[in-house]
Amino acid sequence: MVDFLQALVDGVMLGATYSLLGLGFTLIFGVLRRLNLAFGPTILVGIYAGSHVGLAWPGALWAVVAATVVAAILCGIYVERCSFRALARQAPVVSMISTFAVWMQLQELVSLFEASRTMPYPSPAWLPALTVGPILLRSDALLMWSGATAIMLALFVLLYRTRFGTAVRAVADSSEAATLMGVNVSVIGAAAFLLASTVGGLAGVLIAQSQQQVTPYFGLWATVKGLTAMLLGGAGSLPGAVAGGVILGVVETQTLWHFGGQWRDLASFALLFLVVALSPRARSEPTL
Amino acid sequence: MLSVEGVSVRFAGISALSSVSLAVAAGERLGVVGPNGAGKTTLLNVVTGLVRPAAGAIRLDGQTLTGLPPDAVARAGVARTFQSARLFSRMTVGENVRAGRPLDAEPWLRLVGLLARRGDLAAALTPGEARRLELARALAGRPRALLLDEPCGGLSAAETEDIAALLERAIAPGIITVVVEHKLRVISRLCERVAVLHLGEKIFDGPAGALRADRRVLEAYLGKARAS
Amino acid sequence: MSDYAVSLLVRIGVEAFVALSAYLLLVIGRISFGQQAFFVIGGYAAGIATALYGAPLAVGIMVGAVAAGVAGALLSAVMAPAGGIYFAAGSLAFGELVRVALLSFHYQVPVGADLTGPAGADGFRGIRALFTGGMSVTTYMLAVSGLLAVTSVVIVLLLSSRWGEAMRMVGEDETASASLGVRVRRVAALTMAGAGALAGLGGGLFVHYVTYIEPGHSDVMLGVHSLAYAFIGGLGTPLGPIIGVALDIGLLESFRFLAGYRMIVFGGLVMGLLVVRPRGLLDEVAVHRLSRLVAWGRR
Repeated sequence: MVDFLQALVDGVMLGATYSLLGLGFTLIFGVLRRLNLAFGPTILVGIYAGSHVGLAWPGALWAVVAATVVAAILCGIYVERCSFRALARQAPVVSMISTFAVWMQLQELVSLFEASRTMPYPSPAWLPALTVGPILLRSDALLMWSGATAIMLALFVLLYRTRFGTAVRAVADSSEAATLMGVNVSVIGAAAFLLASTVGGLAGVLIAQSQQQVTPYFGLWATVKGLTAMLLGGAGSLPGAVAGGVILGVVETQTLWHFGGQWRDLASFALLFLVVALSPRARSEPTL
Repeated sequence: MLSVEGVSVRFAGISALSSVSLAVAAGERLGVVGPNGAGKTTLLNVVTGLVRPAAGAIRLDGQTLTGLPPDAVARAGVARTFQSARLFSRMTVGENVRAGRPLDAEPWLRLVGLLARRGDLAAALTPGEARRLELARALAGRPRALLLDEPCGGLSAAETEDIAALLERAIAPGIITVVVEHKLRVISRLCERVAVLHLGEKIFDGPAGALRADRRVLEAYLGKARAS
Repeated sequence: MSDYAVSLLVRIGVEAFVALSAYLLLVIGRISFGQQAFFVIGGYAAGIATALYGAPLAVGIMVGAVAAGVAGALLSAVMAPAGGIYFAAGSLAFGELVRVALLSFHYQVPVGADLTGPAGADGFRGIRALFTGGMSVTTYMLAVSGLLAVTSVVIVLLLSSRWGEAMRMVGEDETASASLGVRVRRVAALTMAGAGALAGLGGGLFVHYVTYIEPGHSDVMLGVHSLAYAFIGGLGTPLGPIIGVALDIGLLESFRFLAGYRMIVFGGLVMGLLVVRPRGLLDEVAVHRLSRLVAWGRR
């Protein structure tokens, strides 16, 4: 029972970062109605930038965080300009196609800029571990979870308690109605992108510091996790993405506990499959 | 005979259709009118299987269509057109009429006056031509029932006249026809009988001529105060 | 012909099969990021047939194609109804699922003095049927090219047949297609099986040329590239993706200084082209105009 609870707690904490990734996808898909497949790769560029800064200035953790987030934002701006704004008048799927071309570019960019493929990512050394009864909360997981939760809270305050946030949600609900209410949809779109890139960059920081390394595979990994979280919660729903991330985290850690490491990844893919196979919305999605 | 029996459809808590019943015999043409949001397109969608009814049944010559997927309903002999002509813009006019079926497109193209455009991509057609192509495509399958969703929507007066004339001569006798339309002149020209839907309910079902005198219909279109 | 040119043409041929595989699904309107999975399944199956069970080369490659086709049919049971981003996400997950599953796939059989067969993460080595059979590499290249040519012709014929009409209808508007009696699920299932077989064919041809295969060959970049080839070359004809492959690999060869930047340049080309031609160079409109020209020229 204790083990089940431990796995559950671990799963919820892990799930918080998946929720962030899911939120990043959902912010763009919900507001712009287009899937940004370059989202994971932009975070990849961010964490590699952070890693380089960490090697150049050991101990300057804030510089690492800043480098990661700024790099992610810059990539996000690139994607927004080239794949979304430039293709705004085309069918939604064309943007998605353009983003996977950006994915190709960012993947190669990362491989051009470092000597070895896996690089270290610094993490704070001074974190305590907590014990609540029989449950152990590891320090890196605790940081990941508290950081993710803080970011999500800030995001929800922004989206549900400010005028800007209301405009974003209005556009996500119906861009035509929002335009009629005087909202500048393209500005909101760009702002949503900025928000998603920032959230993504911060998610990258939290995940990378927990794993203490970055690999080129992270781009695809983050994409699968984020997409699963978003689709689990019903594509386009922000609270749904949060729930989806937590569910994914719990399923993963329970699988890890009961069946071992090999099955953990398979479980997350299987979960995505289940959503695709069973979701009624999957049938009504428009094709090309 | 196409019969709709007590069909109800609900979307997200709203009753799009409430226990609607209709019957259209072979060779008969029924017009379906009603203010926006009355449920006219939903009625067509539920007959063609795009939407599942919460209650009721749909039958064509005794064969139950309720619950069948749209492609099975089509193969049972029901053809439809859409509010905005859904053509395959990347395929030619001829290919659109054939729509993957083993038939000769030529006579149908001749019937609607598009034979000369046979080799053009459907994207190149004007809205009026697009409607004619969609009609040819629907008729080419020699359906037992033909459902038309606002065949004159968005057309100018001259184009409307053309389409209405075309419908009069192109629809073979013996086909069950249901025409959803806003333009009452088109309805009265084509259809002997009319059903009026309002907020999901059928409030009138009778000869086209009696339409304008019916109190409930007037109330639905004009509001209670003005109708009296 | 130099060895280098031969190897280049084999590479183009193999990648063209995977690109055609993605193309077939694009015709029915589905974007698949997972065709690399069928490539690898075909490769493993073909390798097992020839290296473990002594099948002749041609038979082994066919086995690979069939195995991948069956996998496509099985996947369609889950994925056929899905479209749009759901299909994209599901196919992405499938590609990774196959890769991860193959990391644990051990199937070794004694052949002669050694154990041969898939060894999990270490992959599957010693697939030498091409080289022990006495066929020259140049002959192999010609066979690959010939197979590609035949396949392209078959696809062209398919797409202009009634079946192809149904596929193109589904690709443009599923609802209208269904309302005209097209069995959309069946079209999707058969197309997924066919696309799987094509990618598997490429996998079987690949594996015998390089003599080994590993889970990492189910690489998402292979899937992404296959799509990119179709979108650059054009969706109006199977020649489109083949042109896309030639463009990319030709790009690398003509401009050596681009070696480390090929994906950046190619990706940029795709992005730029999408702004003006979202369906590629040889899109349906272009192909239609060309066929009109040809018909006019014949008169």
